[in-house]
Amino acid sequence: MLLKENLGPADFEQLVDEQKATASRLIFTDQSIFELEQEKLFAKVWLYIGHDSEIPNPGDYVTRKMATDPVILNRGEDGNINVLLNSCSHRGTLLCTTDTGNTKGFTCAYHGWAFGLNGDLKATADDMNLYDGKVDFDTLNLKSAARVDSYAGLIFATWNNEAPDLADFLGDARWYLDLYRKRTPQGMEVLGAPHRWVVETNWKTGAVNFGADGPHAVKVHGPITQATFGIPPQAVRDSLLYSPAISMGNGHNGILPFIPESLRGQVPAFTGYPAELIELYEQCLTTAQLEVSRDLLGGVQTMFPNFSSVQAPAIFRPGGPPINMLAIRVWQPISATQMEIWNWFLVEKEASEEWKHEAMLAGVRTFSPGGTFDQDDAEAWAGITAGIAGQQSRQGDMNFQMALAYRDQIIPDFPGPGKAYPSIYGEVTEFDVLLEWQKYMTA
Amino acid sequence: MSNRVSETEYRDLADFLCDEAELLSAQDYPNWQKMLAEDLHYLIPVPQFLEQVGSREIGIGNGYFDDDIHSMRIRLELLSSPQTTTAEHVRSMLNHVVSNIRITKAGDDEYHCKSCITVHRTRFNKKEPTIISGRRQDLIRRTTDGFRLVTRQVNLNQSILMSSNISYFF
Repeated sequence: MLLKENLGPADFEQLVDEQKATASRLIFTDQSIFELEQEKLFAKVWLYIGHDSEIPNPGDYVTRKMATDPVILNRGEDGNINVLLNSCSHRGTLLCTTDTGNTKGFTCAYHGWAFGLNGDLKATADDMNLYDGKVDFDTLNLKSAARVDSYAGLIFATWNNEAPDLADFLGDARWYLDLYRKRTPQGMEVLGAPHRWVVETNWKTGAVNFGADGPHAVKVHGPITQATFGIPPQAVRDSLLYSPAISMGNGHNGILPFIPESLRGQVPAFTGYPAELIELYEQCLTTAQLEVSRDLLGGVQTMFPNFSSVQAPAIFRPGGPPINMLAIRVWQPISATQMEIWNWFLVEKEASEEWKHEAMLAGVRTFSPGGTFDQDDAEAWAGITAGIAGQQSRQGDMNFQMALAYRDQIIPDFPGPGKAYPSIYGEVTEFDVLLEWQKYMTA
Repeated sequence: MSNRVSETEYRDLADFLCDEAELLSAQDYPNWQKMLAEDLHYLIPVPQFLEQVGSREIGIGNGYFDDDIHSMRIRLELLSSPQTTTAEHVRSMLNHVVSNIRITKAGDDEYHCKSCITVHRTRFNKKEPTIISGRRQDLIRRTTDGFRLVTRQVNLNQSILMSSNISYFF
């Protein structure tokens, strides 16, 4: 079935079936749905574009994407953060062609139109008086994002003037973001340039997987977890089966994999962190946050729609201690069947240089295009695209029906906000990402 | 001391690089591992498009690969069995093409080897191969047991990798 051209809310009501806990495979493969997502979702919602530590000084810039749009993220002379459409207001040419740098402004390679760091038009091809006063140059500044804001060093932007405040959009998810990204006084910094690679799958595959998918971690990553985390597959399975998955509201979802019973007493609190950082965590996190943090083996989250993170402890030296890495990433939509993963590694600013280096190594060896985890996920995800390309196969459902068993089991008195479900096997929180997607598509 | 190498040395080292390429294409990791030094450093930096003036580095840097012999052994072990790899099950069809080999002496028993490497890779679910090319700078040591790869830095020519993963080596 190919969809009709003008999809309306009624169509999207059918494409995700809340009652059945299934979604149409078409939303992972149909290009007309992808095009509608650009308008109904990505033009409306807050999108992650970069970290405060990437542009510490005035004039610092990085080139980024907000869904399919190229943008420049920079720090102005006044210290303010600017997010500009990276496209000349004259004929649309890509203005800034480098990945990062420091500059006083941006000059177009085509006719030489020049813009300040805040996007103001400074010069046209020649003497601006040649326009004889017939053009209002104020209308020819670069388009800026409607709103830019940050939380815990994470910079978000939106094209939507009517968007809620970022704090409200993140809402209760901030409590869970803090567990990994706001637990020392100075906060975090990026370790280097983003890893960027193309995966032949719809962007939602990544967003849903990090929402997060428990059973795949045993099937795809079980032996690797044994080899690189030193945790036996049975213990991974127990941790995932009996630890909570959280729906934080507004489509933000994640998991809190705790040390399983079989390893209690053998794994220290805050496993994978040095004492000097743990001391700061104890100071900065609340009593309730500490309660869920101490016994964590890792963590995976998706902030709706396409900003995710993963923390995990890796051991790559025989007999060495586990070292925690934290990766944050955007699932960039490229087409219905292709995304780019943009992936950064974060570390606490207060960490020693030695620890930063170790955390970097733990990150690039696990969650990166060459990482022992990502290389396998990408293969499984590309397999979805290959598997649902046909006339018969694309008519089927994406199945999240483990949710039928778990979605009514909300843990009472859970220390954190949102709805906590008792198992990472439950598929409830993964499916919640698609339910939120449906809200935007039917709006 | 001149850093020029003899014809025999050049031939021996070029053979080493071609033997290595053949093992990498065949994913014969037990035998490739024998060619690695205990003090191995295998590094693939993240390529970026930067201004010639005004460029800057962010953070301490995080390459795609940054491995010592211990982490490399774990990688090779995982990639050697269908039970422990999804990315290479089934195995990719790989061709490693080595060219532009230039060699100078780095000391009594060590050599700087520069080469270009182009890897053609085909997966079962895509008809056409992905092709990634890079410039390699190696340090290779002569031992009584044959040559050993000590350091390798590979500068790839894609800033956004057009490949779902790098589950192989350059």
